[in-house]
This record gives sequence, C-alpha cells and structure tokens, in this order.
Amino acid sequence: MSDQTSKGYLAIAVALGAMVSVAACGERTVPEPDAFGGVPLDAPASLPAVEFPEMDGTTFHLVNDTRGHVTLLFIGYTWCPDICPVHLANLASVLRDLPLEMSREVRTVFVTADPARDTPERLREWLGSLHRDFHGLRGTREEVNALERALGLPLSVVDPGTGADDYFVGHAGQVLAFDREGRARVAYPWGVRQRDWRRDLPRMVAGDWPPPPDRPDQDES
Amino acid sequence: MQWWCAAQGVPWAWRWQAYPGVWLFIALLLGVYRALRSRYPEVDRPGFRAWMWGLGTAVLWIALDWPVGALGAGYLASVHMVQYLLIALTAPPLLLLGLPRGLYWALDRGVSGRLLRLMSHPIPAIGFFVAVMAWTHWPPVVDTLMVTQAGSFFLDLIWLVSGLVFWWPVAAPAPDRTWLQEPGKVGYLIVATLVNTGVFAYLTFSPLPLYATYELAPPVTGLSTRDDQLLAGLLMKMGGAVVLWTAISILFFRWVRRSEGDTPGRGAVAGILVLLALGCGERTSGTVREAEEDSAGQPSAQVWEAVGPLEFAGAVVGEPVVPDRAALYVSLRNPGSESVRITSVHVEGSQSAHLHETRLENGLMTMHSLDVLEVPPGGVVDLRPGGLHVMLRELIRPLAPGDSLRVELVLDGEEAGRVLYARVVPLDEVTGGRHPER
Repeated sequence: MSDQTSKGYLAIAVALGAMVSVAACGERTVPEPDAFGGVPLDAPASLPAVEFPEMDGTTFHLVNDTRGHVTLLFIGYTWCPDICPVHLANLASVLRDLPLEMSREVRTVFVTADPARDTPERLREWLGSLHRDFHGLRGTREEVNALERALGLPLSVVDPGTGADDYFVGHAGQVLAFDREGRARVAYPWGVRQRDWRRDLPRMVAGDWPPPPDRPDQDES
Repeated sequence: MQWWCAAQGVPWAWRWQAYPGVWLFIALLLGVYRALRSRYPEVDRPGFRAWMWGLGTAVLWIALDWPVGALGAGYLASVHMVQYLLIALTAPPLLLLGLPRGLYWALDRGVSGRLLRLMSHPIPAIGFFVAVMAWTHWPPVVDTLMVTQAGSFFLDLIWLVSGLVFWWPVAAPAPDRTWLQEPGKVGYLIVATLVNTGVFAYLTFSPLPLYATYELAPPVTGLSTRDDQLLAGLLMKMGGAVVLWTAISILFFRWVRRSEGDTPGRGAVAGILVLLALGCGERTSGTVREAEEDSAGQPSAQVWEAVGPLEFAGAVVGEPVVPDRAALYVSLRNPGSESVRITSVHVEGSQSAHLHETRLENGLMTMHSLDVLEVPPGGVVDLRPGGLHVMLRELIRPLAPGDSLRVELVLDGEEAGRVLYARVVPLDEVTGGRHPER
C-alpha cells in the first residue's frame, strides 16, 4: 500500500511540475512589449479630403473631422454575419475601458459598403449597440470604392446572392489606424484580439507608432 | 459535415446538424454496457445500475450533440463550461454507479488491479482531476484543440476520463477497495468544491477575453465576449457546487442512516429526505438489500434469491472478532431435481475462503475442511454457527457491519462462480439464531 501511495504522490508531483513548467512557457509566449498586434504599413497612404453623409444627418469630412486625432477606419456592412460585428465589438470593448482622456483622442469611423441596406436608422441602431461614439458614414458605392482605392484597400464588391435583400458584400477585413496627421500606420486584420488593442491603443495615442517594416532603423516620429 | 463538434468560424444558425461521431460514441457506450452486463451478471440492484448507466449516457449525449456541443465548441465559453460540468462532473458518477461489480472484480488483478487501487486513493485521483481541469482551461490549449474535430474529441474524452478518475473513490462499483468511507467521501467532495476556484477566478477576474476561440466567434446572443467569459467562470463555481453538494448530501444522509443502524430513527431521517430520493432509492430498490433489511427486523420474513441452480437466503458474515478471520453463513436450497455440488467458495476481501464443518467429537470442538458441499434435490443446507460455515482468512481490510461482500460459489464442473452478496452483521446477530426459518 505504501508503495502505491508513494507512486500516487509521485504522479501528483509530476503533474504539478508539468503544470508549473507549462505556465512558465505561457509567460514566455506573450509577444514582446514593443511589438504591435497589427501590421505596420509602409506606404504613406493618407486619409483623402472627402466628405460622407453621416448617419445622424450631418456630414463627416475625413480630414477636417479627424485632424489631431488617432483615427481607426473600417469599411464593412451591418448585415455582415460574423467578422464586422465581432471585430468592431472587440475594439469597442477595449475603448470603453480606456481612461476617458485617452479614448477621446481616438475617432472610430465605420464606412458602409452596403448603402442600399444600411440606412441611417440601421447604422444608428447597429453602431449604437457597439459604441455610442462610433461614426457611421454612408456614401454611394462609387464613393466607397474611391475611398478604398485611395487607401490601397481591395475594392468591396456586392455579391448578388439569392435575393434582393439577401446578399453578401465582400470587403477588406482590416481596421486601418491613422496617426494624428492622417497617415495610415498600422493595419489590424481579422483575428486581432482585445489584448492587442489594449496594448496598442495607448501607444497610438502617445504617438508611439511602429517603424515602417522596410526601414526598421528609422526614427519614430 | 462534421463528425464531432468543433469551432468552424461560420455564423451560428439554429439549424440542426448531424454529428455521427457523437451518435457512434453513444451507441458504443450502450453496446459496451450490454456486453458488460451479459459478461458480468449483476444481482445487486441490477435495474438501478442499468438506469444509472442510461442516465449517464443521456447526460453525455446532451453535452456532446447539437446544440450544446456545437455552441460550446465554437461559439460560447459559457456553454463550453456547461459541457465541462456535464462531461467531467455529472456523467461520470452515474456511469460508475451503473457498472456491474463483477467487472471490477475481474479487473482487480495484476496491472489493472494495481492501477485501480491507485485510482481509489483520493489524492492521486483529485490530483489528476485538477491537473486536467487546469490544463484544459489554459487558453493556448483550448484555442489549439477546439478548431479541429480530433482536438475537440480529445478534449471531451480527457474530461470524461478525469471525471471517472475523480469520482472513482466516491462511486466505485465495489466499495471494498476504496480508501474512503462516507465521512471521508464527504470531506473529499468538500475539498473538490474548492479546487475549481482557481479556474473560476481566472475566468471571472480576467479583464480581457482569454480564449480566441470565443472572442472571435460569430455572435450568437447579445452577450459580449467578456460577459460570456464571466458567466463561464460563475458556472464553474456555482454549477460545480450544485453537483458536488448534491452528492455530499446523499453521502451525508446515507452515513447518518448507517451509523444510526437500520431501525431507530430511520423513519424520521427518511421523512426529511424526500428530496434525496436518489440516494434512498439506491438503498431500497435492490432485492438483496430488501431481503436483508426485512430479515433484520423480522427473522421470520424469509426471502429466497436465485444463485445459479440454487436459492439462497440470509447470507451474512459475522463481524470479525480477531482481525483477519470471519465466517460466512447462508442457507442454500435446491429447487431442482438434481443434486448440486459446491466445490469451492470465494469471498470478496478474503484471500482464503474454505468450507468448514465444526464437529463435537469426544467433548472437543474440531474443525474439518470439506472438499465438496452437496445440496440434494429439494433439500436445504444451512450454514450456521456451530455447524457448516465458510471460513474467511487473510482478510485484506477490516469488515464493518453494513458492508456488502461479493460471494462466488463455484459449482462442480463450472469455472466461473455463481454470485451472491452477503452482508456483514454484528456477531450477536449471527449467534442469536438469525439463521433463516424453513
């Protein structure tokens, strides 16, 4: 019996040891503190000086109304079944938890790629449930494609689908982050997590952007 | 089509999906049980055991199949936690209660026997359970396993195995080798209510979503990712507590009943325990126990049970006076037309059991070993104090009144023993002429 008992204790010791070592490995897999969750952008695409009708009836000028702020821009549509709501909900969740003096430095802009179905009411309802400070812009399909072209994003397309009200819209999956001068600096593709936003947003507000990928030695501005 | 629920990343729809792997698994559980029961016939509460196995299988089915399985695998951490509670905490004790005791008896040899005895020790059992619980809630493990069907299957399987190991010291089918009696089992389960606090706190107090699987899952409800995770943590704590405290209550009141003895105060306790019908039913649904309890109060109430071609009644083992020696008494009746010869007897918990006869010769009580005990057609043979009995030696652990022991009668020309169960009773109940009336 005592032999089996000691075997039992040995088994526990091994299990505990394995758990501790696994936990230690876990600590090491956390990314380096200076890495960003998104992809640093090389091309200096800037927000174009265009206006879009906003969901509240006003107009939103992409340059004038974002000047001096960190801007996060996403092009999608509210009937999107999975990526758009989850991607934006995770961002919204982190923004809500940031100190106000930090979160008010950030403008989040959603541009619908599906103006036919995304009425101003629909945009207000959908974006309002995510974050009450999000801006919802609604232009024509041509204006959206022009914006995508200016930002170097793939052009969104409407997939006819099965019926007039039942179709999908193909669109870029990333959130673009612009610095206070309106230059695109980091793209956050689908799959970015709340912990990434939590780490990166304060640094964007502080102006601590990652260097462009091809010139890692360049001084940060 | 998927054979097992895994995270797919497609939008959730309340549209039924087939998971043939789950069906196969459930069918396998039922088939294995059928085979086990025909291989190891059960006389101790056979109907109750079948129901317990069926119930345990049903719980697993609910946890693994659509919609619980699909939602838990790829959409909601809270449903994933419900799966854990069902697979690792709820189904295993039901399955263990359903196992025929003969299986344990057959496995209790060699390597498997040593493993079973190790599992019966509460510390390795709970250690393994906690290790699996911690490892399978660690985010990189969850996010790696849940995206493939094989990984998801593995996770469900290791949950089930950890639950069986955890519950083994409490609900093993043959109680003779477990380390714990009721008070110890209650203590063991109380400790278990504390160990899931770690996972609960990890999930509940984490400011950010931990699992990419659920953070990036297509939305199902209005529940935010963090609320979902919070709910999962609370479920771990509260749901676990409900299951464990139910078991603790059953054990506690069974212990009270046992320590009070069979007669006094029994009705009062039973009256309080309407809610514990499960625990109570377990005690009274078996024909063997009914017979024993009847005869405890009324010696003349005689119930004969079949054991192979014979019938037996009043099988008792006297509580040992000296540490490693006891005797089995029973009445055997042969309703058939041919003589039945018993060539040997094995008794659970005793390394050596022999047929003996006490004779008074020249004023001396002497013991004689019998090679064969013959029960003539239509005849009755009483094994009783002062005459025939089965001598038990080399007891591997103390026997206490209330224990139920498996007894195998090996008949002439047969290899496997015919099984009956004998109850350990205080010595005065044996010598007090409690042998069955004819």
